[in-house]
Amino acid sequence: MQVFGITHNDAESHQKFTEANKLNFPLLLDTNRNLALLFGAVKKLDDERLKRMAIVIDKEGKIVKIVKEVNPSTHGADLVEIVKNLEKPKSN
Amino acid sequence: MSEIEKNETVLFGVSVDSVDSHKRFKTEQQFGFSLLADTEFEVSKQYSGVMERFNASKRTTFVIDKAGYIRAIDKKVKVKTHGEDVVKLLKKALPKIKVGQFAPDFIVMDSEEKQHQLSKFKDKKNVVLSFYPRDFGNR
Repeated sequence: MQVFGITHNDAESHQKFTEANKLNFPLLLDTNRNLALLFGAVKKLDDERLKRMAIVIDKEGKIVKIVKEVNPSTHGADLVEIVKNLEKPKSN
Repeated sequence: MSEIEKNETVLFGVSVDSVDSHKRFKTEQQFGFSLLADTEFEVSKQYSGVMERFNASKRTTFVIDKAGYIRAIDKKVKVKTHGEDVVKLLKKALPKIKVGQFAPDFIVMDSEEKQHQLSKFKDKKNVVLSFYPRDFGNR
């Protein structure tokens, strides 16, 4: 599973944030909020902040889950759980 | 609201004609969309290409999504049905962020200047895009 964090802050801020939180996944640069607009994390390009949300995409490239209620303190574990469930063989 | 607007889309007609010519054409045809005067051929050269014989833009339609990615190019424009054809094309080509739909591809740099393309993960990894309000939320 590959995780990307996305917000509108610049590379310098991202690097500090990565260091401070010892993140082991990349933070994408979306300073112009294009990606956020594409996936619905902002409604307009000049929206001040991105909505907290996660999009889970399977190996086929399909969206399998849109997480709109994100609890920052358990988000990592929640995502792992979602992806684990994806990989369970279907019971038919 | 037009079918185009229902698809959260804005339509522009582009040709190399002048602003005056566009004004007359728009009034005569009662178009509900804007015509862009590409008199320097800048847009036409980059997008449609130019028909040398007529010194005019080629008839081509581009569908560009909210993030600025080109999602469809129609080079076989049929004038009579193009309005309805464009609506069909929008429905087919524009990304839908819904469970069960394919996620739209993108290429983005990360803060270490490494480039990531979503489609490169196909058949290899599940991908999670986690959007959040800002680094250091309390500042």
